[in-house]
Amino acid sequence: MAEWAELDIMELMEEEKKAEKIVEEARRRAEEIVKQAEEEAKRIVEEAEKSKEPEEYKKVEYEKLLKELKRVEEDHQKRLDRLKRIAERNLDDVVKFIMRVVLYGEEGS
Amino acid sequence: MGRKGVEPLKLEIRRLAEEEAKKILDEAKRKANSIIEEAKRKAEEILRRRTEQALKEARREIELKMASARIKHKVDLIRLRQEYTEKAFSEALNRIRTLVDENREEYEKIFIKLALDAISKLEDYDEYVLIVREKDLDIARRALGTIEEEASRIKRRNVKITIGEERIECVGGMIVCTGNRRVYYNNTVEARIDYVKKVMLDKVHEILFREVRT
Repeated sequence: MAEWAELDIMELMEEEKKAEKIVEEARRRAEEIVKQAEEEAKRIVEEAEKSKEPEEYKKVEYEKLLKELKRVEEDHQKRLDRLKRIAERNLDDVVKFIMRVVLYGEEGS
Repeated sequence: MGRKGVEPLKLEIRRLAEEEAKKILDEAKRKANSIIEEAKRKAEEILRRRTEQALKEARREIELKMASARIKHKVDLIRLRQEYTEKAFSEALNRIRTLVDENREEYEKIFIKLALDAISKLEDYDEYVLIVREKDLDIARRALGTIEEEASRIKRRNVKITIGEERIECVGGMIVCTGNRRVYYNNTVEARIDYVKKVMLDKVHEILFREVRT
């Protein structure tokens, strides 16, 4: 009976060692999983820091606003051209008005 | 303990170990997921911040250009207004010069009107002196009677008008002094143009840039 018990204990101790190895292996694997995740996380953050995406957005926004600027500048030029045509057309009226005031003291237009 | 008693124990030891291993791995996976999720969130935040900054820069650059364009437009408008205002006054002066030199009959009427206008603006005196340009001496002499008569009517007293010895350089018109030479009124064409420039510039611009001709 005692012999059997000794054998049993040894067998169980052997099984305990195997169990410890399983747990140990799981711990090693777990560390690896976390380490890989940390490396992946670092890569994700670095990628975001180096990403060209914001510059692309900036370029698109800049182009959009540049078009708006060009439109405003064109409007300004059109307005200037229009005022120039009006002034050219009204020049004779103004000259006559100035003459009337200077020579005859008439101040109505 | 017999053989039959050991096997279940061994199985239990293994089961517990595998359970523990699974627990460890599950926890590691959960932690790994959490690390990745946190990194993704951080990356999104970095991208959001960088994009916001990039857009802000683009807008600021264009806003500067826009402000510059607006200022340039204002300057262009001012220059255009100045250009045409100067053109108008210059052309008016040329036409007046031509009228004064070539239409003496009309200019004589204008001369009389300008003299009386000056006299009416001066205080009441018994005598006024007309200071004219050399070319207008003939007109001044001819118009003296009419001016004297009209001035007397305006001032409601007998007024004497004389022509001063001194001459002025101008396009037309005259300077009128009181007899004692203490007060004078400059009614030359140039002085009247200056008056229009100072007092009636808004009106000049209004006519110059009105949309519809009246």
